[in-house]
Amino acid sequence: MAQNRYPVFPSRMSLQQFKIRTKGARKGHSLLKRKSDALKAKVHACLKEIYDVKNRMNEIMSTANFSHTQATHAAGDFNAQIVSKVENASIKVACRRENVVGVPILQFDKVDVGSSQESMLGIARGGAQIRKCKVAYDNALELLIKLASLQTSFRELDEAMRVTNRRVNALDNVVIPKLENTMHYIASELDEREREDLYRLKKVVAKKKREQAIADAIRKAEEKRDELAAKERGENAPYTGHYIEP
Amino acid sequence: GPGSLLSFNIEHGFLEAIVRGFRSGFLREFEYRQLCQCDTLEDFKLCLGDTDFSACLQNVEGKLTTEVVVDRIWDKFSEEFDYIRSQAVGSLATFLHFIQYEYMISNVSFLIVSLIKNGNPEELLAKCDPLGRFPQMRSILTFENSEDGLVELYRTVLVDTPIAPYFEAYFTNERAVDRPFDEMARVFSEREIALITNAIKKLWLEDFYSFCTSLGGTTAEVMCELLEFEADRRAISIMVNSFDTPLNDPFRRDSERRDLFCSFGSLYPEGIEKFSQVGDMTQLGLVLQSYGVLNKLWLKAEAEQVDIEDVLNEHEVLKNRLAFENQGHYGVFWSFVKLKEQEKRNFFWISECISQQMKDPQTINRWLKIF
Repeated sequence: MAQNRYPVFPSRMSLQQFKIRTKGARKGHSLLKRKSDALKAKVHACLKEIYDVKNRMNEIMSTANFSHTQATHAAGDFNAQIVSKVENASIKVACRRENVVGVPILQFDKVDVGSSQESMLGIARGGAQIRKCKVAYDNALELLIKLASLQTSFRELDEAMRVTNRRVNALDNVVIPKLENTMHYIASELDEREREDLYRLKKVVAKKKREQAIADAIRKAEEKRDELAAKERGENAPYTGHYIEP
Repeated sequence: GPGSLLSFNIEHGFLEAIVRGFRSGFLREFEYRQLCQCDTLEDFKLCLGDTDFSACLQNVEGKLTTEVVVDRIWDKFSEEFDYIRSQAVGSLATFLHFIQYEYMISNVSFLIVSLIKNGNPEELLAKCDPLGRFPQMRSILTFENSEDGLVELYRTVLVDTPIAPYFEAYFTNERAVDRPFDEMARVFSEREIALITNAIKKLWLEDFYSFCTSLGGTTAEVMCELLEFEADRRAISIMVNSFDTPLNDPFRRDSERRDLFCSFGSLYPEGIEKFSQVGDMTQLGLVLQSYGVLNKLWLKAEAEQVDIEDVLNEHEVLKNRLAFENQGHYGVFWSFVKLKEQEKRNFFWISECISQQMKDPQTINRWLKIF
C-alpha cells in the first residue's frame, strides 16, 4: 500500500491539490467511458456495414465481370486497345480526415478526374456493351472504395476504442486508487501529526505542573523557615496571604 | 471472269475441297450442348476429344482459362488459313489476302497507338491477331516515337505492305495535305483509335467490294451480297453504338460518323443520307422501315428484346452458312473465316459462362449453331 501512492509531502495544501486531481480523474473517467461506449457503438455499426457491403460486393463484382464477358463477346477482345490508349486514371481516390467521436478517421472518396475522352471503342461492334461494362465497373469500383473506407475506419476506430478502454481501465484501476491512496496517506499523516502535537502539549503541561509543584513546595518550605526564624526572634509572623496546600 | 464457275475448278478445285473438308470440323450442335454441360474448363478437354479440336487443349501448362482456350482455337484456325493461303494461286490468292487485310489494319493501328504510348513490344506483338501477322510487323515497334520516327516508319515499313494505300488514303482525306504521313503521330494520338481503324477498314471494304465485283461470275454474286450485308450491318452497328457518344453530336454526324459508312450496300445512298438526321433508336427504326430485310431484323430485335447487333450477327451467320450451298466461287473462303470467328465467339461465351458459373440456360445458350 505504501508504494502505491505519489511521493508527496503531506500537508493541507497537497491534500487540497490531490482532491482536485481526484475530481479531475473521476470526471475524465466518466467522459472516457462515454467515449468508449460511443466508439463501441460506432465499431458495431461499421462492422455491420462492412458485412453488408461485402455481401453486395459479391453480386456487383460478378455482374461487372459478366458485363465484361458480354462486351468482349459483342466487340471482340478490346482490353489491349484500352490498355494501349490509357494514359491517366479517369478515377482517382482522394482521402480526407473525418472526426468521429473525437477520433480522426481516414475516409476515401471516389474522384472522377473525368478523362473527358469519351471512348469510341467498339463503334463498329459492341460499343454500347462496352459502355455498359464501364458503368458496371464504375459501380463496382465505387463499392470497393467504400469498402476500403469502411475497413480503414474500422481499424482506426478499433484502435481508438482499445486505447480509450485502456485509459478507462488505467484510470479505474491505477490512477484513481493511487490518488485515493495518496489522499488517504496525507490525511492519516496529518491526523498523526495532530495527535503528536496534542501528546506533546500534554507532556509539556504535565511537566510544567510538576515544576510548579516543586517550586511551590520550595517556596512553602522557605516561608515556613522564615516564619520559624521570625518566631524565634519573637516576632509574630505577619499574615502573608499565601494559601499553602497541605 | 476468274470468279465464274467455268474456270474455277482448274485452279481452285483443290482448295475448295479442303475448305469443304474443314466445314465438317465446325462443332456440331450436340457438341456445343456437351460443352455447356461442363463444370470446369478442364472438362473441355474431354468434350473436345472426339472433335477436330482434340489436339488444341492438350499440353496446356497451368490452369486452363478462357483466354487460353480461345487463343488455341484461333491459332488452330490461323494455321488452317495459312495453309489455304499458301496453296492459293492467282486471283484467289489476292482474295485471301484481302480477307487478311482487315486483321492487318487492326494490328497496325493498334501497334502504332501503342508505339506512341511506349508499350512493351513483346507484349504488344503477342496481342496481335495471328491472322493479321505479317513479316514486317515486328519492325514497326523498333521505330522511335516521334514525328520523324513515324514518317520513317511509313516510308520504310508500311509502304511495302498491301494495306499502305488505305492508310495513305485515310490520312490524305483526313488532313488534305501533300505529305499525309507527316501528321500521322498527331492524328493517332488525338483521335480515337477505333475511329481511325474503322475509317481505314471502310476503305478496305470498299476496295474489297470492287475487287469482288471485278471477279464476276458466281463469286461476284455471292460475295457482293455478303459484303453488302456486311456494309449494312456495320452501318447499323455504328449508328447504335454512336448514340450516347460525342459522335452523335449533330455537327459530327455529317463528318466523322458519316466517314465510317461504306459507299455501297442496300442502305447506300438514301439510308446513309437519312442517318445524319438520326439521333436515337426510334429514329433509326423509322429509317430502316423502307429496307425489307433490315426492317425485319430490326422488328425481330424489338419483339424479342435483344440487341439489334446480335440479330444482325445471327443473320450474318445464316448468310455465310448459305454461301456453302453454292459451288465454284470464292465466297466459301470468306464465309469460312467469318464462321470461324463466330465459332471463336461461341467458345469464348461458353467458357466464360462456365468459369463464372453462369449456367442459367437463357444465358449460356447464346451461342449460335454454325452447321
